[in-house]
Amino acid sequence: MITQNNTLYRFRRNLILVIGLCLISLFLLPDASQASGYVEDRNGKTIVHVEVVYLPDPTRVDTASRADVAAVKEFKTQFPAIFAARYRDKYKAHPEIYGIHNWDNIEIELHPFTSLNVEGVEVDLMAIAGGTAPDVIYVNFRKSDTYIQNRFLYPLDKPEDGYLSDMTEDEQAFRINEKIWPVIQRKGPDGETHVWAIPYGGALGKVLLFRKDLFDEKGIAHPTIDWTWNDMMEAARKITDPERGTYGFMCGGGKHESFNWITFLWSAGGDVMLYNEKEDNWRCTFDTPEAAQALDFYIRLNYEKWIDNDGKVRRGYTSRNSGNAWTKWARGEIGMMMDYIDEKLFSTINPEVTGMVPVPLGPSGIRGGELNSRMLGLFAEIKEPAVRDAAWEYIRFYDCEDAVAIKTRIMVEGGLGRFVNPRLLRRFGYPEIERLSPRGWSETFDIAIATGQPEPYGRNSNVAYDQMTLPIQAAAQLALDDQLPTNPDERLAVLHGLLKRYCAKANERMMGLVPPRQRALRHICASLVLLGIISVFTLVFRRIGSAFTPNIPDSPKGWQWRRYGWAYMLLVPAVGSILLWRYIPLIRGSGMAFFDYRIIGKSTWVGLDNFGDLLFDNEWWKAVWNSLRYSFLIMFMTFLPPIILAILLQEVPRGKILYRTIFYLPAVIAGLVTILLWKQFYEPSERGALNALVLRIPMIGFLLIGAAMMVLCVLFARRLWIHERQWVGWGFVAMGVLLFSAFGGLTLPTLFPSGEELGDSFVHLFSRLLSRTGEPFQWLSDADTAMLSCVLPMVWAGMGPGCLIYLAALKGIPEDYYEAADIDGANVLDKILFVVFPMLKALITINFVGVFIGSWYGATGSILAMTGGGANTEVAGLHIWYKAFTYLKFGPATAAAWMLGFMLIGFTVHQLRILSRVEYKAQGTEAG
Amino acid sequence: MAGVALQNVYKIYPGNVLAVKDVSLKVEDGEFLVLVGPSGCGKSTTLRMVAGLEEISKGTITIGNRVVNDVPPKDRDIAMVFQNYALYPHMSVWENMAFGLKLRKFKKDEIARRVNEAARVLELEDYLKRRPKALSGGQRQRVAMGRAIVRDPAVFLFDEPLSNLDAKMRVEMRKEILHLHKRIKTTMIYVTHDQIEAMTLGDRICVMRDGVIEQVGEPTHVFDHPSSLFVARFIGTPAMNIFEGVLREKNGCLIFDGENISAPIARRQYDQVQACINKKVCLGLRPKAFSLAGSSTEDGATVFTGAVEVSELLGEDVLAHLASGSHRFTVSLDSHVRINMDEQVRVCPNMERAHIFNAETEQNLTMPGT
Repeated sequence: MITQNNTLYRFRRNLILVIGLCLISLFLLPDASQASGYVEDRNGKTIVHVEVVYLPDPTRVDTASRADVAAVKEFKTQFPAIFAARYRDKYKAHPEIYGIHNWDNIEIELHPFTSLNVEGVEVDLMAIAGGTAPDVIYVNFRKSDTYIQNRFLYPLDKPEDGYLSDMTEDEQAFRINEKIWPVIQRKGPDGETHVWAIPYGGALGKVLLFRKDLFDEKGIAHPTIDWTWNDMMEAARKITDPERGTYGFMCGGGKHESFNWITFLWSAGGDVMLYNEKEDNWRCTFDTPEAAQALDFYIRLNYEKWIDNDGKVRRGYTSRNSGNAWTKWARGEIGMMMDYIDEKLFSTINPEVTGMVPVPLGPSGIRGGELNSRMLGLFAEIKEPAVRDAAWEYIRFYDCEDAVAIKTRIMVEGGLGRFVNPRLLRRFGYPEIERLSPRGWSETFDIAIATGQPEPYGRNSNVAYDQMTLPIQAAAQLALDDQLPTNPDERLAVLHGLLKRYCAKANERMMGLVPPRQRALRHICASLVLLGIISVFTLVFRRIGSAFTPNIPDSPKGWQWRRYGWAYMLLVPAVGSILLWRYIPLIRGSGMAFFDYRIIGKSTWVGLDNFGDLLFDNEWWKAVWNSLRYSFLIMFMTFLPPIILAILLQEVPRGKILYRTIFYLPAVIAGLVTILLWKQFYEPSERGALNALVLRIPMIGFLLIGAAMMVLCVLFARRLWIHERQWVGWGFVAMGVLLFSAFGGLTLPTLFPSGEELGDSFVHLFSRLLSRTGEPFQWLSDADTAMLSCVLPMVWAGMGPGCLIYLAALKGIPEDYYEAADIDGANVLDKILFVVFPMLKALITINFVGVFIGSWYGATGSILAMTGGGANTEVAGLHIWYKAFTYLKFGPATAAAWMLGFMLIGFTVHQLRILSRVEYKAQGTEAG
Repeated sequence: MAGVALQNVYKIYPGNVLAVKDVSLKVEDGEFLVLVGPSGCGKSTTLRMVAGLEEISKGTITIGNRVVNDVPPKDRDIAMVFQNYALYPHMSVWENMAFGLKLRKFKKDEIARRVNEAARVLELEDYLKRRPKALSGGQRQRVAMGRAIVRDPAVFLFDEPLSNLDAKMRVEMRKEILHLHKRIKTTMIYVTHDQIEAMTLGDRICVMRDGVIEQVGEPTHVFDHPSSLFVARFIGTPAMNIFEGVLREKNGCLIFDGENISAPIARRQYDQVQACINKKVCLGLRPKAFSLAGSSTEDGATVFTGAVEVSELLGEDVLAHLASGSHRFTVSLDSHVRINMDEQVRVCPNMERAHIFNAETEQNLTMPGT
């Protein structure tokens, strides 16, 4: 008893230590932000290092890249002269600011900014948060507000720097389109108006690109400047031929699908958000009747139901996988797409094949192309003024008249002159080449710029994009379920209703106001939950402690340095690295949950607000629910099949190694490749492998597969009942019913089409049973199948490794048991249930817990790559990630991560307890 | 209850490996037959063919009146006890015994009756709730037998069931198995490599070698009249002494003539060995067939002389391992005779109990009735 008390005491002491550390760490917020540039003295020279985003790559040989590289090279040569003219004297006069360096002999060295690349996701935010931000950062309209409000950008118009004021009127006019001024010159976080970034590459207008060859093939007149939506729809209808894999139009899905919709919204006369000068806030306005019209058009374009010549049901006229958009476009499988037009685009498309017109006119004759521009800004956390000045000079030079002249010259010399913006050709003296540029392009370009509207750039425009995607997705789901009225007026009313609902929600979200009473309630809830969590934690530590403390009555006290000194020494590297790389970041980061955390500037303590808000955040709970669904599917599908496969493999008489290799091979394919591969399989026409397969199976086939699975489950259940395992047996029956309904569900739309009298359906039942489905599955955009589709690649990839583990364990089961069972009268099912399963029990349990916990974390990456969280697949991990790195809400994100961690702790404890019980034994002995 | 008959049974493994060659054997109803032989002799394979765990390559196996070649094990009405017991580790003793009955859809009360009965007989009543892990080796063995008994099969098959037990336990279990057989009087086929087990348990024993049956018979008969050199060497501990030599005729007497050793053949055996005169033969003498030559030994009597290499005191008897030229032989003597190491010992063989083997065919020439 004494020793037990002692352990308990020691345990308590450790617990207090841990809690104390946690509390202390809460006040030690990580300070991440810093810039990469620095000043170096080398051989009497001063070298300024600047890290630049999108630095032209000198290893690329295409003309457009060479043009950019030449401009940068020119900048490097000119830099010492520019420096001498603008900065040298100032630097020499103020060594206390600029440091003591040799300012007479100066050079600049530019470094490209590199980071991981995820499509459609703001990786630079991760770089900023991670402290590896470049000095020159890229800004687009949409995220400009986030950058400004979070103080990532350094104002370019401070009088003491003389950056912008040093530029002449002409220089400014050459570079900055007047429509872009409101975007770059805005109120900052402290209420003062500044210029935050400047554009390069001119204004980008959104235009409609089309494949001339496809239009000619179908005998459709090429689009013109006065094309309308109806013309476009008509053309898309004619071009679309899913059997061949050709589609009329290209539309990406995912979280930022609204990005595609905006053009239509504007062309209909609607708008995304409006600025209220007086209150200095932005409100979403995408709930107007015009917006409904735009949504109606968009949904029809994407999801309209039609029947092709073979009687197959098709939906929409668009290819919705943005992953292979450019490949499909290049192969001539997409008729039209929208894109920004600039010199880059000019130089990459072939005017013989690709035509270009302004975006089509909306119903009221408005044209709402989008105007955009790439922009560069200075990262606010550059500490060395010399680096900042050099970075500014880079930005300034990169698109100044001299640089553009160089670029134009190289383009012309490279034979690509006719693709250069005609305006520039004129300006730099190549009028003869201007005549060569494809007919109508110049006009299109001008119209695009003239009628374009800047992409939303207001406060929370990022949020607006997401929120705007929600009604689109909801409408899409209605369309897929055939629940949208066919009558246009009724349909408009339904869509309008959707928009109103989501617009109101978006505004509520963007304002982020919570009434005080609600706030108090959230506080109380958060406190209660946290209290619960702490007690759970305490309990957990006790459990773990007791599970792993061997119950040796006379264990000697103390650390016994003499005896175990070496052992402790050997432990140090492991313990040290785990502490350094795991626990210290974990503890330091955890503090964020209690702050309104900002990367730059002061974070404010908000106590439990983040937890409180989280508890009342529907989207969070939805994400948790999605995680549960994912987890369940993963369990069900990556956990059972390897066991079954292993058992089958065990029985294979010949070629075991061949089969094992076949099943294992997918595992050597990197995770992302697997997902991209499967995305191709999921192509929603018969060109996708999966649809091709499914479309060949008649309805009765699905029913039979489902029935076979159900029968198998019932057989198992019957064997179990014989041995009085009633509940497990019923579990198998439930599983069978589930499998049958899953497969049967696939046939429902064909056997009992919606809107048909039940009686009529029965009349046709027989012939329909033999027919095949008329409609290819929209695997990834239909919420019914999307989650399953995300899980399948994991099953495919995980089958081999899982199977091998079980196979190894199966080999460890002595033949005797099977033979004894044979003689006892067991059939195959009995042997699986009563010999194999119990023998593998320890392994299965460990695997089960591992798979379960892994499914919560592993989901994030694969789903991000698969659907980006669309079609109701946003799981908790992905939700947290978006929260942190697209909305920069690190506080709430950390709180959410904690919450997720707590939810999983129960399972971890269970796992630990199992692990503490399992005995590892050599092969051949009875499994413990 | 049923007898088992094997008729010209072959087991040929892939690669033309002959494991069992032309085995014909009849096990009477209620008989306890022991298959014995060194490892790799095909005895286990034969048993497993009877059980249905191995396919029969050629020939037929009949249980009762039924040819069972294509009958799955569970329908052959047999029960088998494995060397490693093969008790399901995740089931309690009770469940282990009841498993086969449940699979055969016996009624619950019937299952309970049989299991409890078996547990009573095997004295397992106190352990019914335990898992096999918590039992001793002997108890596990009993559970394995219990699992066989409850099914009340026509034939019991034992595959070296005692080889995992310690010596004392083995003796104990041997008695129990005998007792069991006496009580239930079911046909039993028992495989072992231990000839003592074979001798003590079997109504008949069947000695196998390289997939072939060497001899089948009652234990005493096999012991007294081994049909071949192999059986002679295999059955009996310590093994029979074999001397190599030539059979010669001298003055109308037949004499075994070996290195350093010559011995007259018993007259009653003359007819049997006639054919091998002047040929190589082996003389077989069990250690017990020697007695110490003393002063009373008459002149001219046959005496073997050897130097003591090792002597083992077994209690009443002492085993002396003697060396004479290239011969090594063992004699069993009264233990009150003092025997010192390296001492030359003179022993007299009882040639009435000698076996003469044809050195080429290894067949016993002196089998009775031939």
